[in-house]
Amino acid sequence: MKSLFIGSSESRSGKSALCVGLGSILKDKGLNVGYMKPVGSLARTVNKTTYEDDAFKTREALGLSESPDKICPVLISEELVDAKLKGVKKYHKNKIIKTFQDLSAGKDVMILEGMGDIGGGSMFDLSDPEVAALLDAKIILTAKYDSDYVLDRVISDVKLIGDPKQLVGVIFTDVSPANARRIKRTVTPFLRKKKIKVLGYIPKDTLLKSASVADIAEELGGRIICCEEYKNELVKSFIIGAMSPEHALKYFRRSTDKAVITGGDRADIVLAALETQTKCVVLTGNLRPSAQVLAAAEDAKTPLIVVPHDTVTAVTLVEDLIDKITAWEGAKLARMKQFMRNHIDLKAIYRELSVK
Amino acid sequence: MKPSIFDARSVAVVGASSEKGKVGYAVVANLKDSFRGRIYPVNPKYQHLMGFACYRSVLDVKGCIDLAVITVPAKIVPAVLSECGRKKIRNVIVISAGFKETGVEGAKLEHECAGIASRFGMRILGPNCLGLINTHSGLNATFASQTPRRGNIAFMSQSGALCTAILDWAEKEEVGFSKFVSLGNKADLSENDFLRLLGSDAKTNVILGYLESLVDGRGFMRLARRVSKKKPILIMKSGRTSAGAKAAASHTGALAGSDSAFDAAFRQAGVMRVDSGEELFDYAQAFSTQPIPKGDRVAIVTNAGGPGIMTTDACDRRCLRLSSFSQRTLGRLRKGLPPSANIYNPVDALGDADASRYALAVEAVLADSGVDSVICVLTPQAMTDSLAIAKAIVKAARGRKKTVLACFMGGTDMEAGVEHLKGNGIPNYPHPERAASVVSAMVRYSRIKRLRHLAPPSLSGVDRRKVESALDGLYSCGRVAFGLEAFDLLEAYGVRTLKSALVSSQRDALRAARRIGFPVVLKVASPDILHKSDVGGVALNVMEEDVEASYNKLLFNARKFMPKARIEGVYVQEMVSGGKEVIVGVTREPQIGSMVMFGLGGIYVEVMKDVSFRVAPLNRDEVRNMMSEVKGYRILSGVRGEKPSDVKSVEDTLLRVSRLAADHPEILELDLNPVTVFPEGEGCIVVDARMVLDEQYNSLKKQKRGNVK
Repeated sequence: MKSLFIGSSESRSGKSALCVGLGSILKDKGLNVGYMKPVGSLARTVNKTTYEDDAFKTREALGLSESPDKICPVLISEELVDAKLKGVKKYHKNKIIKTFQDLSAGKDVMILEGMGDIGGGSMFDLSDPEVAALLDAKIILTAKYDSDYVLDRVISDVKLIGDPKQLVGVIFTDVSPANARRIKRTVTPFLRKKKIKVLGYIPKDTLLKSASVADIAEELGGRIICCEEYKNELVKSFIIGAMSPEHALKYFRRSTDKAVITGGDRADIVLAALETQTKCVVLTGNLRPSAQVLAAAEDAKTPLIVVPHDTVTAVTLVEDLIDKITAWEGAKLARMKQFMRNHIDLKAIYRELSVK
Repeated sequence: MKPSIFDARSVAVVGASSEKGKVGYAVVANLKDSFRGRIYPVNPKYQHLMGFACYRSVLDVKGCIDLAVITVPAKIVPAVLSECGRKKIRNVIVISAGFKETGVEGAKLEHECAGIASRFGMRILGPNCLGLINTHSGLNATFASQTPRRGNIAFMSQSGALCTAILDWAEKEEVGFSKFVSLGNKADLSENDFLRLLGSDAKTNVILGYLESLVDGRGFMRLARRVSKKKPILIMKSGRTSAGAKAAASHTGALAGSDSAFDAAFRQAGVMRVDSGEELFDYAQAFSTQPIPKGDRVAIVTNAGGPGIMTTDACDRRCLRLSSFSQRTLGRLRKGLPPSANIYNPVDALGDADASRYALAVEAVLADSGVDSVICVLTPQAMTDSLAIAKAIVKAARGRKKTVLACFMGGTDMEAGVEHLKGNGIPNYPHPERAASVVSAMVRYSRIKRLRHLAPPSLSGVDRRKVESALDGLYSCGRVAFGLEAFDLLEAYGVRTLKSALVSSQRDALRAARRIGFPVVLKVASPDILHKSDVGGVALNVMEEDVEASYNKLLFNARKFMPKARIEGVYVQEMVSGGKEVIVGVTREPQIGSMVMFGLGGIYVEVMKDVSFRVAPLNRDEVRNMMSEVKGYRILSGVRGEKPSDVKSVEDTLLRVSRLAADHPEILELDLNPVTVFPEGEGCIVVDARMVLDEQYNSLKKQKRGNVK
């Protein structure tokens, strides 16, 4: 059994997406793949079980049956930090090793996901390189290619890892077409000279960053009041509907596959949204639209979601959601796998795992 | 011609009832009152109803049924409709409520009903409507509490409540109708179907409508253009203000669209838009009783100076001319009226004027060939006999093919006279403003009637194919908002655009600038930056030595002020100086289609809102009208010694852009701002452009292919 640890230079660089994509590709090869997020932070409690939100979704996407609270044994919270600062002794490492042994039993490959950025958890001596070393896993470093300065981060992160043999290579994410050319022609040779292997990149893609209508409804604690059958449609952007109706149409026309967020009493805005390509309309302030507007939404086959928040809060929540890669339904997973097959040196990864 | 829904000779009422207060009762009662055809009540509960045999189902009726009126609860309407279909009933009125107006479930039910109807080739009026009336055949298929008297006015309304209010008012005012239609939810039959029917209805002289939305604006325009040549169409379209539009949106579930679009569409189609119910019926009464004036020259006859002046003011405000009388007319007036009377227009027959003086004055002005219409003003004086004067006016007007309106100002003293006028087809208005407004509407209609609608001219140098393939290319970029990419489309339609190149390096910028010729303009190219000058994204008058610095500055500014904007490079363009700026735009309006906009340019355009709209494609007359409608238009013809601008080239640009919009409906929006117009003979040039394409392009394309077949 071999393990791979996926860590990243900064949070939100697409670690979970890589875990799901890689895990899924390995599963397709007939391997028994396990998954664990040794240290996590975004805690969430459902039915008295507390677990890590992202890890939970990744586990679902990989179709694993282990109970969600097992997947992520150490959840860093304010309490835990406080205890650490006051010198209370906790045996996190033992817990991680124990969980790892449980989860990896009978598995061919274990995929381990880092917490946020690579140095996170240092307070507890649980930074990514430390955890990876603890579990004898090699590291794949991901980094969002927002500008050439990403290389500063990558090089310093590799120094943090210390032992160059512990690193499999780097994967750049969110890469624009222009940057893809740059990575291939210029960046890869440059890093090779620094003894850092570039495994490949994941292109910038709106589909990957989209959220389903159902995700939005869940995140906002809202109710889908019509066209629920379209709840799996993917939303790629959102627009706030607070303008005058004649301007609304102008703005709404400029973007596709969008969610429009507006007050539940703005029938004019809702209808303008329905006139253009809109995946759902979020109605804030717990205001239900008139029956006629509902019927118009039914005609346009566009779900309406009534949410309790005001518009500003709803916007913040949706913004967060669309920035994250979540909800692994069919189209997105297929796209992720296609990207990995096309743009990532999978053979190098297979070699590390001693699989063909 | 095939018999229409109005010509039904046998009517089934499904859901007929013997209980007073129920809709099913009221419909049967209304039919029983006046309908001369066969009536078949349908309700399994009864064997007889109000003296008619009652049936379990329409299928049990032996004879044929022309029209079914359905009043049963919404849920069982589909089942009833299927039975009607099997019975081969051609027309159905669904009065029942509980459809689209109640929400999602209702909408589904309504779709189901429309589906059943189209399967059987049946036409549905409603659902959720009052029904319809044909006064001439006595068919009152409504549950209204009144049957209107016969007349030559047809009325259709999207609001059922307005229907009943108008019926009640008409009863009091003794106004008669030919046809009366409540459109309801317009699941199938819409204003277009009834516009067609009423347009060819010999019993109808005026068509009135209250509408909140149009089902098919293009179709409406096509029909209205034809019908308005035969009879006036007066439409009250609500949702004029943005608050009203919001209310309409919530009420009908239809996006109102911009009001100026409706204004333009109505005007181009010869539809007269009215703003209030008062206007609607003021106009209707005159159109239904009086001949259309041949021109705009008005004579006023009054018995008091003040109201005479008020009427004169009111006419002038509405661009009506006051007639100058001929010598002959003046002679007759001088001879017949007291010396202190005013014989010039407005004619003042003085406070003690009696019927004989009115008779003389009205006859004299009506005989004058310089008079097209007469407003007879009367105020109650000590010796005024309103009835006698009314009789005199009626007598004088008889046989003259000129418009005569009365303005008997006052209350009880005027009643007898007003009553007589009304009974003899001379409408009376209590205030001069209203009378003048009516005359002006009639003059407007006389112009509509005369106007010949010319087809848009054929244009040279239009390459439709080229635009189609350019659009295909743009769609493959995976976005919908574009900038100067629009230039290719414009050039393919013979519109001159600025020389321009998109570059992504300083070196290329310099090369392009040398090719174009100095000085040049540099502009940042980004689909996300709408107002480039606001973020320092434009550099003017750039000479060879400044290209590098300007290039860097633009990119720096764009990244600083709009860090999230996608930047595609920098445009290098020829520098245009001098000339006047105008804007030309295209926007596709819901319900109506592509509109062309024209206005004077500059940064204040958004504040002044001095723009005009027309539905594309345009003919030359429409282009000229839309240009002269803009208040600042005179600036183009040159003020205070300036050279006049090349207006002809702007006309040509508008024609071409309107053709582009009409040929390629996938262009949702196109803003040409500014278009610089040079002095006469030197043309005009499009300097900047923005464009949004419709993402549902493919479906439209298919639709277009279908039309070609």
